[in-house]
Amino acid sequence: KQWYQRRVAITAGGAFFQEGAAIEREQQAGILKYDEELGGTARHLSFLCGVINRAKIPVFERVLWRASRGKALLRHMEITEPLKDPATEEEIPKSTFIVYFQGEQLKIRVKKICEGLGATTYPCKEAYSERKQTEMEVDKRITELIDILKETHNHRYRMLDTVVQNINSWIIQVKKVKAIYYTMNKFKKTDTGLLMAEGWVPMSQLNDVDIALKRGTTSAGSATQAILNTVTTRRTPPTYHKSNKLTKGFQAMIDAYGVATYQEINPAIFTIITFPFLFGVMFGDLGHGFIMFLAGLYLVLKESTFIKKLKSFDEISAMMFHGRYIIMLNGLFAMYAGLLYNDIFAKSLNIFGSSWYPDISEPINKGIQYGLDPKEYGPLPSHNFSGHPYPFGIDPVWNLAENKLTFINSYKMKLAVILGLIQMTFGVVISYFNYRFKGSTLDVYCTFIPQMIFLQCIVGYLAFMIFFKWFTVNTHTAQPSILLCLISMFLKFGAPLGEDNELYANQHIVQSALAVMALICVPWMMLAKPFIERMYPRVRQASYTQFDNESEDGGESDDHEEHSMTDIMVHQAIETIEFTLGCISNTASYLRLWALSLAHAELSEVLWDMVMRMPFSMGLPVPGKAVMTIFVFAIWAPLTVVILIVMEGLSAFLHALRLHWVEFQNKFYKGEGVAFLPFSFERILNGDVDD
Amino acid sequence: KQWYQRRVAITAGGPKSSTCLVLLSAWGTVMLLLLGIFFHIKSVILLEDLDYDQNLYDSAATSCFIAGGAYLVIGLISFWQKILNDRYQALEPETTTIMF
Repeated sequence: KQWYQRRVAITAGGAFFQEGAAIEREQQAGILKYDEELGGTARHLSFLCGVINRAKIPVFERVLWRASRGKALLRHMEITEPLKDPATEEEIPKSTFIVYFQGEQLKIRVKKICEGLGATTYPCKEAYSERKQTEMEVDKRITELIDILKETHNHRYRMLDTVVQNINSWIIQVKKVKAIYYTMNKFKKTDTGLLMAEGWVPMSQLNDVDIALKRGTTSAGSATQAILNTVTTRRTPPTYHKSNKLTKGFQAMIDAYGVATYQEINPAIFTIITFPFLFGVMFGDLGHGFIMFLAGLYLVLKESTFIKKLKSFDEISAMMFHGRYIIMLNGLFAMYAGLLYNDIFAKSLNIFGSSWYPDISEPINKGIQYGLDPKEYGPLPSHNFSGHPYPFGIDPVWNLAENKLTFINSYKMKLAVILGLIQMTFGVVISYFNYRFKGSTLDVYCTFIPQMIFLQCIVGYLAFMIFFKWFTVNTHTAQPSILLCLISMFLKFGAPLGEDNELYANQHIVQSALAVMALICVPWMMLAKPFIERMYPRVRQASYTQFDNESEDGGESDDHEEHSMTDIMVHQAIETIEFTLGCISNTASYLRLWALSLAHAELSEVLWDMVMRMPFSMGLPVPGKAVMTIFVFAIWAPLTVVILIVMEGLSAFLHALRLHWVEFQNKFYKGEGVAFLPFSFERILNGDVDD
Repeated sequence: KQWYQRRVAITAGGPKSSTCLVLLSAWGTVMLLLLGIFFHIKSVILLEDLDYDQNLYDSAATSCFIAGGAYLVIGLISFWQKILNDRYQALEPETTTIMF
């Protein structure tokens, strides 16, 4: 800093001297001219010369005129070289001026005016030879100063160069020491001169902390031992989930939505498999999944090399590296779904032999359509349908079928509803385990059971109808629509459905019974819990204390605020409405599993049809075809990666995550916890935690 | 410094482009080979790619094999380039980075 100030001073001096020199050079002419104008007056005129901001000249002139009553003469000339203000490094246009006046009084006034307007004055000799001499001196000083400036500049760079070697370690040291002192400031000082701190320790590691304290005391050479005492408290501890490199990514995804409340079931464990599975359902291509799997595999196999270089990664690459296991698993499950959908780069694989065979009487030609009738089945070449479905996945014949989408859409939609039901039921079951852990039987009977019954009576029954329709062969000409059945369950309550609309006999009775059961659950959910809590207040404790997140709770903790009856009722009503409406809307939300896989399949097909098909469908000779194939592949492959793998991959990732965060977790997750973040140099230096 | 001057003359692209080309060529070789095999066994799925003309199967198969072979050659060349790039990259001095 000293050097910098010195440099500033020298630059300022240089600037001023430059100004002085400018005056010298340009005022000579002015003085000569003035001498001529004056002619031979005997009176002695004094003058003052200096430099002033160009912008202030009009003001200067005016003030000088008024103050001297017209008896002072001002001459000014612009300085052509711009001069830099040393402090701000701005270029300010300046002018030199010279003021002629008579008498001491005027001189004082003029000086004051100059000071007031920020003009700097310089001594200037009258005689030409003396001026010439000062000019040469000033020039010499200027060149000297320029040399000095250069020297200081170089010196400064050399100093910074040596600092560069050490600055990283200095920064680390500073951060560490700052963190240590910041944490130590949280200690309390007791009267006996000891430092005391309260903190959270995982019970499994109490011993380790003890040993570490003993080690610390011996290495510090202190006589008094550091004492570790466990203190009972009613406060809720922070949540600590042990994670390894595989589970860390999934835990981070769940924690991004909300850290689990203390001792709540951790959904991240299930997410390790359900998330890639749902991703796969939405991505569903063997080829794209394989590429994604390879990418993830590469990141995983090279993790030791990448970990060392992690700090030099930009944010996106770092995020991809942290999610390497997620990417790998996503790719793996996408391959599985691709096998099921029988989709590899928009083509199907015929691994097991298709169960369908067209009745080919004429040679295959463009424009001929074959209708494959499943009703009479038998050995293949003579029949259309072999009678056995394709063993694993969708039959490859569908790839060439015109009504492919009609079939696949229906299949994927039903699959989506079934998967949604399974995940939502699983969520409700997890809530049961949470209630049981808390010991809250009230919640089990008044929340879990009606929720379960409601969910199964409506969405569970829907899934049942889907399976029923799949497994039974309906001999009627018109197939009953499941959705119409579901709707008539409520809108045409109790009315018989008619032969064409029912899946099985007496369906309307079964449906009415289920509808009644579901409707009973609504007031059960809404009213049972508040009324029982009101009548037996002690029952409330179990359902509230375990999970309340009061910090700094000094006094009573059995029962924090008094809930009024309206509060409880409103709270319960909101929960009930959320759950019941959620059953329908969340089930519909799971249809995104269908929507995204359809979008992916269609994009993939369009890309193949528009790009990769080109060399083969044109009537080129073989060499031309080969060359064209080379170029077309070089276009098709990057497009596949960018659009179908990166873009669709991100999209499927996001939607699978949303399904977990909202549709799965709102059945059981409270997520009101605080993460357990112990003091860690590594985390602080990585910038993960605020120091 | 001589190595740097030589490097400009020998390698056609930087480390990133040669890696990309290697990966693309590997994918192209494998995929076009398989596609050629599927055209060769006259898989029905590929019929619509041939505009429903059965006679085009064989020429499509041949051109796929040729293209696959071309990608194999391109892959080997760019792999050689990649090795050169890695070798020359090792000679470059490390630049210090300041982390904040």
